[in-house]
Amino acid sequence: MEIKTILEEFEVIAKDPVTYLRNLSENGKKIVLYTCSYVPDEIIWAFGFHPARVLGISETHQLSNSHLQPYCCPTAKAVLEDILSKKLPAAHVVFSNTCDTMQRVSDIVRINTDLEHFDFMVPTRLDSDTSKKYLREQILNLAGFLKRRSLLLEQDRECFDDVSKINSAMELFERIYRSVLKLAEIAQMSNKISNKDMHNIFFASAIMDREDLAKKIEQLNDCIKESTISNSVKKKIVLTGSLCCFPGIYEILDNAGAKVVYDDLCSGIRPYKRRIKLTGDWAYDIAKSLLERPICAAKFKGLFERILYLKDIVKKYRAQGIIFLVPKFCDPHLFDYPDIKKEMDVPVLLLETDEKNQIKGPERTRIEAFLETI
Amino acid sequence: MNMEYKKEPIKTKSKMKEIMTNYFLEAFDAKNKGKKVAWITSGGPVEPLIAMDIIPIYPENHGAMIGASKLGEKLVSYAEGLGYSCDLCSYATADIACSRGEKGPIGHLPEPDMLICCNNICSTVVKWYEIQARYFNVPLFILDTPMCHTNFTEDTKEYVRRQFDELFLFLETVCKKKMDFDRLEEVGRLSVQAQKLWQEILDTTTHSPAPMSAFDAFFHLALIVTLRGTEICVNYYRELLEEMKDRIKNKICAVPNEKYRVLWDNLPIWYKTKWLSEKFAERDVCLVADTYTSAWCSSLRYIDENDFLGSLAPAYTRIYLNQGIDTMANEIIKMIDKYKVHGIIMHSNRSCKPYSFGQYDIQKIIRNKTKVPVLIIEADMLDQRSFSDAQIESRIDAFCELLHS
Repeated sequence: MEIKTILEEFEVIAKDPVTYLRNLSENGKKIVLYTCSYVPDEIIWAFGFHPARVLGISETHQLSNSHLQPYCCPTAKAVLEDILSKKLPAAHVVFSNTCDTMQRVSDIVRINTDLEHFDFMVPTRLDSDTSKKYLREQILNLAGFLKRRSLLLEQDRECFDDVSKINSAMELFERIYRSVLKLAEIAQMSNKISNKDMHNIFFASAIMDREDLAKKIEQLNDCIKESTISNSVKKKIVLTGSLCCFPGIYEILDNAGAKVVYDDLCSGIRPYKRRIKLTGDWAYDIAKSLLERPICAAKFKGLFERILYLKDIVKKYRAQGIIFLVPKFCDPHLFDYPDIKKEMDVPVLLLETDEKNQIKGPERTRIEAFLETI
Repeated sequence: MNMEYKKEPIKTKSKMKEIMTNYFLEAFDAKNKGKKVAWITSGGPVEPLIAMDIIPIYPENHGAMIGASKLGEKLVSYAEGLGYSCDLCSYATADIACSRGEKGPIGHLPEPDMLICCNNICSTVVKWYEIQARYFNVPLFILDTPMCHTNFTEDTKEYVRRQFDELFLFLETVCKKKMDFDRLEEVGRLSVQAQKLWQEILDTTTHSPAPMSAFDAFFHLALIVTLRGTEICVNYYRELLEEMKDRIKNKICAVPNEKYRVLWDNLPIWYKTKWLSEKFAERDVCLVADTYTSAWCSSLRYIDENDFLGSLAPAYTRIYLNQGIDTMANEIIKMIDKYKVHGIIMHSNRSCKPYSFGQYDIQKIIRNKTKVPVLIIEADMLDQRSFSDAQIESRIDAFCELLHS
């Protein structure tokens, strides 16, 4: 299969995840929605469900505006809109305590929908054994919630073997993480995959059938290996922030000849920077891998964790600038911004968007001016 | 005016000013006295600090002072210049501005030797304290209290309990001395006593007309926040309670023509408390209760006085703000009954997202279950730029008309 064909498949899913999920649902897949990359989607997969991340695809907020004030972040509003509009076919939703806003969105969904609801509580502190133990218990609780529902779906209840199903899911997901990371490494040096292509891959990966995903990414890696890798990138950019609130940015960067050498968004590489090592205690293994992945700004793992992490990334990829892309009212990232800007050795551009996928003329000019100056 | 009832200032108020002055003087002199200063969040566990002779300082209490002094806009603007968005919590940004040299109502706060942050009130405090710990180069302890959306589970209880052990160890390390657990139990007893007295004081407003209003409660709250666990706090509230009982006996009240009793939700609009208090009084409305000041006694039901140490985890996790919005709505409905409330005013506070998001749903739940009218006004607890006098006054007028009908 050609690179172009595979990339087009990812683009179709990224552009229209609703149709993709509806097709899955019509073919008998039971979909479990989840809202945060700290939710271990391998568990959802293990119990026979299809995990689909709610990525806030809604561009208008008609329903969510009657639940959330105007000063609420547009990503949270879009996530709520995705769920309340029932466009995503699902009977269950797993929330996580991402930030104050998302915790309230969780309550609003629980009160206003018929979805079976689970709050997956990830410790805010990720720096202690106490946190690891608590996270392990939350993983077991989530597994319990899913198991009770999956038993209702299982034809032959006696055949249900938790450990072997979870282990095989963990192996599949480890395969995905490794191949996505490999692809991202190649993509940052290659002109064969654009910024927009890579975004489509990351975005679609949280929606797709995971076996199909693993195969497609591996195929892509094989195809690219056979093609020439060019390292003629002009401007190297690190993108950081929360869930991507402006997909249009990738195209702007492509057109300006800039390469996102590291997409540190929550809808970028961050969720894939996990390593699962099987030790015989699967819940512990998953907890460990979640605690060791790059942290979200809403979590705490030491005073300088995110600053040092971004400094390392900039150095490793020889980035010339950082674009800090956040939805307006996103407290965790907006609190981080001044100290990160101060500590970086390269210029940092802050872009705030107040509507999904809306960047107005002046911001577009700022991006272009920023790229010219670095 | 109803001639039978009269309005007089609360006498105990002057004592509060004296106590707070001494408290800050002691904190500014802490280094000379060999004492440590800890900055702590308003919902944080102060009792272990008191037991270790650490002086607790509350940046949020300072935030209230900034608001009342109408310095919010100036400080928030200064923080904006440092790169902090004006959409962030104004307590946090005003505090950051004060720490970086801008003057607040008392100049600046005494510098901390450590920071203690409990996220039972919001996640903002984690980011805020992280920034301040980097700036002051002092150790930070985060007590993580997961939100109880629908229930308080055993694993959450155990998680928080273990963190208390870590907190004790943290304090012992910073102070280089052992925790005296007998003293902690004693401090705990005083803390519970103060919380009970505070609840009794708030409950005096079940009397109609109320001997004080929520605006008074906003002022007298300072000690239950800052000096909980001390004799000073217990003695103060004992005196205040006696005064409230005397006021009822002597027909002294907050609004002599009290016709309508209203409940306030969310933090006060500190720079407008006097203005709002007058506007409501002119319309014979008394704010008799609020969800904010009552939060400092809301977890009393989870505390075993004979096992304070064992009660710390539920007491600090199961607070009003750290639960699902349906539970919060039910708490408000209980308050409607208890305080015989005719209407509710919700402050949609741009600075406080966990308190404000969900208010639209709480409003719907209350309307469905009680038919009590609910008015939402949008403002900010500190930043005057978010307050429109004319707009809010006309909304209050419309709300009062609804109460009349």
